[in-house]
Amino acid sequence: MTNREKLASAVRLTAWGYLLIRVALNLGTLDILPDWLGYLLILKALPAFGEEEPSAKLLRPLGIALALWEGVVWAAALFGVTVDSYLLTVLAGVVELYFHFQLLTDLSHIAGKYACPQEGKLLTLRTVYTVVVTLSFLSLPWEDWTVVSIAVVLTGVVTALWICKALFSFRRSLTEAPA
Amino acid sequence: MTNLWAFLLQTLSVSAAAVLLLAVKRLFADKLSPRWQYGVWCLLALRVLLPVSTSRDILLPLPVWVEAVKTAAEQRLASAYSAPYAPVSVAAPVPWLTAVPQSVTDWLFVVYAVGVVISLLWYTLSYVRLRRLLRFGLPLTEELSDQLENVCQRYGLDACPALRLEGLSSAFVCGVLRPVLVLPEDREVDNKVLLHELLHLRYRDALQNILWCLLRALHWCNPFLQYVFDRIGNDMEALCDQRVLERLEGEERREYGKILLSMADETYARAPGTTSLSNGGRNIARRIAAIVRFKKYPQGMALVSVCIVAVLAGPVLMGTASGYTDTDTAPVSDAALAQAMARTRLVRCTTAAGALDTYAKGLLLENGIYLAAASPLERQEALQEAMAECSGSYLLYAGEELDAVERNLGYSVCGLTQTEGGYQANLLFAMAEDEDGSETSYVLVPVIVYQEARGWVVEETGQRQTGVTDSDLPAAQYEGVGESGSVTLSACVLCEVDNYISPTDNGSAFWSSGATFDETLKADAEFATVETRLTLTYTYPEDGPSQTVGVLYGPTAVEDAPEEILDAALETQQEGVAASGGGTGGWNWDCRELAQLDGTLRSLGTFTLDGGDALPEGYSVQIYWDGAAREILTLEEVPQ
Repeated sequence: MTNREKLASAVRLTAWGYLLIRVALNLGTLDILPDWLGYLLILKALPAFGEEEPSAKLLRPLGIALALWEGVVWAAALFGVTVDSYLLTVLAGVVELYFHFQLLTDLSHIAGKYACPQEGKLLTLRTVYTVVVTLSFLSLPWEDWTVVSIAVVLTGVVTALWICKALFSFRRSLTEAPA
Repeated sequence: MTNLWAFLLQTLSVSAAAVLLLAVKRLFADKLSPRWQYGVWCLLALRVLLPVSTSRDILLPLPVWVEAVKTAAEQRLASAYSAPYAPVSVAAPVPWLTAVPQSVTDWLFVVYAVGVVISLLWYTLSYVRLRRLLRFGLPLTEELSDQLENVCQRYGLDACPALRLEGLSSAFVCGVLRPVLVLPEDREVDNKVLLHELLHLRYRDALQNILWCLLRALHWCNPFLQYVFDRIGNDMEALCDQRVLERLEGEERREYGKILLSMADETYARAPGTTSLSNGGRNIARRIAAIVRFKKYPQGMALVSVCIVAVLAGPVLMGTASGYTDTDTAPVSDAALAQAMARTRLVRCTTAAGALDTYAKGLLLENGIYLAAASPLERQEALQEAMAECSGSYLLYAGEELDAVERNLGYSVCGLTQTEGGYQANLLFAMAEDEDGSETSYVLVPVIVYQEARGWVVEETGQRQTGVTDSDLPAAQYEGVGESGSVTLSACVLCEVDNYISPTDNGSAFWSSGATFDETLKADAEFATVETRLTLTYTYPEDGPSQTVGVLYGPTAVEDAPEEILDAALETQQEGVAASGGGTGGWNWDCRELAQLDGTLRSLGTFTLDGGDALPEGYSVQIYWDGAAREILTLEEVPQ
């Protein structure tokens, strides 16, 4: 398997991972598209990215931590329990923020290296996504700012779906271009 | 901070914030650069300087824990600085003695305050001694002076006065306003060491060092925070190392690391307003680890670095609002009861409606925690004792008058009127209906609601009345007399907080048919509806109408009534049939045949306002005789 093929396969895993993380299909309180599975898929893809961008290797412990956290939350929901730890929620929030920022930055750099057209798009999506996630964590009077909060939520959903689309198209660029 | 408990709360809150920051720093130790690692401590500096709020939690419910411990401890003491049931509060981050100490906790606070002063004096004396020592410094040799000038020129940095001092192991910068670069007399100084000190000078690290020393002094007796301040000092040095490495190239970087390694066994003495390359063996090890990672930090992380700080700012600086939970209002052990009572002193009702709602629910549910949350602080001790005697739990008997009230019907606030400094009102509880379907009767509890230092509280002001019916409810009276007769109008104002949960709200639509009363504590509630029940009595003259009589009445001038109401009222009057209607904008009408009446017309109407709307100042009545408009009367309030 060539480097390009390996990367294409890793990008496909990451795209599915993002889809699992960002799309929630609930059966009662249980998400049948669990986020932890999404993180496991991304973790599987990380070594291939690490060969191109060494900083991607640094994401492995954070990815494991996020997969564990999401796994605990999911398992708790399975038994009808809500995980209510503010400290862990804040920690998971900042780790998630960094993880996706770094991952999308690395993917953009890899796209640049392989002359794929998604380089700029991934960077823009990364920036918008990071700002939206940060805004959602801030203690702002969202209930009073109905229009702003709807705009933020919509931007978040659109950006997440766009990231998935950009990743699938990045994978196509890797497979279609001559080796 | 005026007592030991305020200091304890402040120092624990700062410690909790530091734990969070240390955890996050550990997660990103190899991912975010020394600039972020040091910069994020600005959140801790702000946390130390901002007085902690007792109604917000920094990660843990520390205010409640401290308040509960304080109450238990102070009950056996006669302290001058704090009282068992006076809630702990932090007005400023510095200690302040307000009276002569009386108890052990007072004396401990004095010891703490004296410790702060001694720490500050010690730091000042260290600095003064160092500056005096510099008097014995020797001027730089020509060679050393040239070396310094070359370093400044090469890296584009400003120099400051410099001198040599005997017995020094490493160079340092001393002072903020008139900084001096001090170099060892008897050993060579490497250019990279000079660069390190000149960068300290450029970024005013000595000034930052003074700030950290001041903050350190405020928490001198907290060993964990002393460790944290050591870490901060080390992060400042690691940042300076980073700046040095950014200006060095290739082999020079390795040599810089070797210089640091050579200092690993050195000890150092901390003095405010100074910076030094050497900061102790243990810290050097961490800095070397950071140097090894110098090239490995991911680039382009500025945005996410700022975003992470922004996300952390909320929990570190503001914390989360400390509200009531189910376990607070139904404690099961002595410790849980003490904590629940502590929360009632800290988290007070923020609105008059919230206080009335909380108090009414306290009576309805016989819940001492609810009653305490809406009662004056001076009643806290009595309530806690009563709960302990009554059941040893949160249950508190509300009185025999309320034995037969129907819980599911909730309560209403009746006759809310503004007084000097608050409101007076009546809490109205519906009794369980008799099987014979007789008129609903109520228990009426007269109360006043006013603002204490920390929130709104409720006090009962008179005898509770039982067997009260709709016609007995307290109401404002209005009167008007004209050629067409006299009108009296009684307006009973009923206010309600939205306390009804529909089956669809709580997911019980399948098995429940009716709404249920929401029993949760709502300390910041607002009135959702303010309904005025109007009872109008019109007495017409004997020689007046011959067939029908009617009225149209509302809260503004008749000409301002809604068009559709005016038209509907007139149409009904002209048709001459017995009918009534209205509601829009508080306007109601009524038409009756004379054969049904005995000289007076009694009309019932309602006037519903959204919570927060002002009540009307008066009412107007349009009188109709035999289908034709006869006269408009303006009703004036009758003083009671």
